[in-house]
Amino acid sequence: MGFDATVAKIRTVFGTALTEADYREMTNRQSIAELCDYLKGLKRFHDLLIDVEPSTIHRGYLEQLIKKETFLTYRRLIKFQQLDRYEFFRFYIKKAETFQLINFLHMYEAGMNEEYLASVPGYMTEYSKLDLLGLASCHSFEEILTHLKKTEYYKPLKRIMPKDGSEPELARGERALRVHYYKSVLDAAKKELTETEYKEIERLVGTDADLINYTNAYRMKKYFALDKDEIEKRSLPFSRIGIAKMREVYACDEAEDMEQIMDRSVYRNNDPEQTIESRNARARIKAVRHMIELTSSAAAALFAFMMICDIETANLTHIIEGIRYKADLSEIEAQLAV
Amino acid sequence: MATEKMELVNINGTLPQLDEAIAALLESGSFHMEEGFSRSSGGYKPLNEKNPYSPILKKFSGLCIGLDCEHEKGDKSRCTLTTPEEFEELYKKIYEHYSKLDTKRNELDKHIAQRSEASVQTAHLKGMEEDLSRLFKLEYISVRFGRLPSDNVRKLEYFERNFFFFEFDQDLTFTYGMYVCPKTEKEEIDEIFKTLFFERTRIPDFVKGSASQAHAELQKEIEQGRKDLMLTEQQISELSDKYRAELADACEKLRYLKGAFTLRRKAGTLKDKFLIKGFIPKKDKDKLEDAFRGRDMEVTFLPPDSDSGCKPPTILKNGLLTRPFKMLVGMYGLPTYGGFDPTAFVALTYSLLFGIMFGDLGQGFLIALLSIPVAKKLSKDMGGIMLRCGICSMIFGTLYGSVFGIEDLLDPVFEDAGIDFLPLRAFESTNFILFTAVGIGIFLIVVSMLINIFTSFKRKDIESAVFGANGICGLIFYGSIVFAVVSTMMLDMEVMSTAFVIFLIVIPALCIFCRVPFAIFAKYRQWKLSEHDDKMTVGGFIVENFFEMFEFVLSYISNTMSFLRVGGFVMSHAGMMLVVMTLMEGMSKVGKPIVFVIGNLFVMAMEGMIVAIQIIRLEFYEIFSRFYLSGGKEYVPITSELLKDDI
Repeated sequence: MGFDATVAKIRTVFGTALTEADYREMTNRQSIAELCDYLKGLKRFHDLLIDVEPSTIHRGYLEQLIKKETFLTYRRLIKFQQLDRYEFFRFYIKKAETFQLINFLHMYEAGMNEEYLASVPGYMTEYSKLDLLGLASCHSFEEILTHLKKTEYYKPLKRIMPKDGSEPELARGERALRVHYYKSVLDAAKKELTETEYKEIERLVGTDADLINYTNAYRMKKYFALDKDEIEKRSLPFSRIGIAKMREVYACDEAEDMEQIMDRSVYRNNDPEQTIESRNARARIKAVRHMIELTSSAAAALFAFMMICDIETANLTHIIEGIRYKADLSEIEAQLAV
Repeated sequence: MATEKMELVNINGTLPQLDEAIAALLESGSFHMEEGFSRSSGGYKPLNEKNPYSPILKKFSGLCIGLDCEHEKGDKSRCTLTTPEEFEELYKKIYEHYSKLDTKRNELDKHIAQRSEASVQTAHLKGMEEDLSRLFKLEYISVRFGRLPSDNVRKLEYFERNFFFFEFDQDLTFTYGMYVCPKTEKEEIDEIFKTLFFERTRIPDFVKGSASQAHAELQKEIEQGRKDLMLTEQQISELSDKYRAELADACEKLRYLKGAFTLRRKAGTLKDKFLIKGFIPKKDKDKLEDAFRGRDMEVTFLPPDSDSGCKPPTILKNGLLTRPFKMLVGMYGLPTYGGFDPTAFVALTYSLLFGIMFGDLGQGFLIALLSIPVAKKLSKDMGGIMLRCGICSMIFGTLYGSVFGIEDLLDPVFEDAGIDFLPLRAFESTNFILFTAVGIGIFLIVVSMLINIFTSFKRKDIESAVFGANGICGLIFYGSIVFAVVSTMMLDMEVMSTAFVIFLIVIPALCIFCRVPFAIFAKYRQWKLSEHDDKMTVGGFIVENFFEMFEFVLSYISNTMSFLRVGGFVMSHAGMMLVVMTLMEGMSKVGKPIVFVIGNLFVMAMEGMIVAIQIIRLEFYEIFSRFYLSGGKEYVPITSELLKDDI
């Protein structure tokens, strides 16, 4: 697939990503208003925040606007050479939909349908084929399935429904949706991209899954002392370093032993001052940055770039929350992945 | 043309002495620190500890920003505090005063912002003539004014609640309006709108009348708020003046302590012992010895290559005339320690080529003059390069007789001096200029090959020195062809005899073709087609080397022809100035000087930059590629490591 102009454009946009100096500037801000002011001064966020009054903006809304900017960047990139006519390039919309569905399942379980309604990003309703807002009116799993009947998410969720018609374990729904997302990305890549491009996407998916699995396994081991079978049952069946290697990680007796195995893999990252999430995000950046710089495939470059954007969004969210709740600067920095 | 001599230094001591050792190294100034726990260090492990000065330094930085004194220069020697606890105490003392004022400032900011926002909002309500206070006094209905992100408006219909939202106005992001709901459900509905990021406009209770009256009332409040804010700002400024120096000194000391503590991570530790490894310029050895004199630590000086785990760093050693050009060499990559430093060669060739390609006495003078502010404000090296290039431009400008593009201004001077072969006019001596440019190219390529032969012999690389395309064989091959072409075409001499072709062209070409097996034979006395690939077949060898040979010959031709651009730019410069002069002729008396100045500035800026870039290209591709091996490590003295932000 020759979309060199898109690759070049992605690299250009990648060049304007937030730098360590930007993060340092932001973490030094004392209030959300100051931070918003700073973001307003950056070319990337200027247009989006033009009507926003920094001193009265709600932190949640600022976070939502930042996510919106990431989404709009994705839209601009796929529109550049009309890549949206390929199923593969819908991956980021699918990712957002998957996230919203998982979010809904959590809220539904807690009986917070109205809160879910508020949390759906408004811009998503414009681009998603799902009736995301309509989900809020579902009050049983049966109704959820009916609501999703003609969508690709019906089958994976239907599979977790117990035969006796009772309510299923919703954590399984989360896993099913995630697996479906990665599988559909890989299927679309196999169908529409070249063999080399497919391999690159497979590698990125593997990287993403490895680090999600590792973070979850680490938490399950550290806080719930689950055994390896339990952990594996909850893990995603994709890997860059190999399922066997990940099994070695799950089989560790202590969370610290897991760290040692991961430090011997491509995800090595020795910084004791970072949280597990930010260390993993750093490893993710390291892995995908290389891809953006070297690949000639628009699909791989965009997939990798959106992974970086998500990390950037998470960083900004940490900063916003850190400032809002007056967290210590070193605590905020420990959560950042740069 | 060599690099600075270095010595490897190992410092051993007990862990409690580590900070003392680092302080002594910082005192000595020029120590380049390596990791003391590398493979060759025999079991030493890194120290993995949190820096206790990081959090407190960040607090101080935040406070300095708040008090607007972050750029104040401090002196660490004036600060007597040493432990994080002592710094924390000082921080608390100042922060106590500051936080009160800061809270007040934030409240006022918020107060003003809310009212400004309300003022904007009431502007959006224009046309609503209903008395606002009457609306707020309704017995069963609550009314809220404000704005909602437009993205969220469509969500409202999904809430199964008792409320109505009325839209008044819209901009790019927000929809302005009001919602009404029963008073009994007010809290819940407010909560829903809050989660949708509804920004409520609080219209003060005392405001009576229509929207326009409310607007006027708000303006008054904003004015008062601004006055109060100014007063608070003044109090903060007074507080800043009081603590400014103390804060700056403390920050400076903290930066030093934090940096020094971070350097501990580079030391290797084994039980209660530590090992610090690094390099020091040989000339600074005494200084280091002095710094450690009287301390109970073992300092060992070793030859720089005695530790396989540490590569010595490179310091380029250059004189006053050539020093600025190390910037260009650095752009290509530093030479390895003890390798050939081409800075002097670059200085000479770069200045000369610039002078030739951009020869103009007046413009050269301006470039030399401009170098002074550039060196002071932007970059010292850049200024230095501009000064040298400007002077060369003036020299060649004199030879071309060109002053700000006026080609005959110097004619009387040459006539008076009796020099009849000058000035050298670009358009009258085209062939001479182009041939000279190619001649310069040939000369520089030959010199580059000679340098390669010399440096390759020095590092005992027989393949590159003797058989390589830039070695002795390459030099004979290239030199013979150039000699044959020049003799046959320009001097009418027939030199292409059979012996000439066989000995000076065919045999050197064969040697280049078979450079790898020949070099292996010279080194190991055995015949092999490849040093690293045992499976190399004769067929593979021939195909691989055929294409490489083709590339070598092509590069000899293209690299030589590449120097035509030197002559090309001489004419391009003269041509552009001719255009300026022609434009001037068509102007009125007032217009002439304007065109003259703008034309000269345009040519200087555009052509000056193009010429500078083209010469870098010639240096890197045509010259450096023949002999230069980068891969050296940058010398970073321990004192500048302290200034690193990520420390």
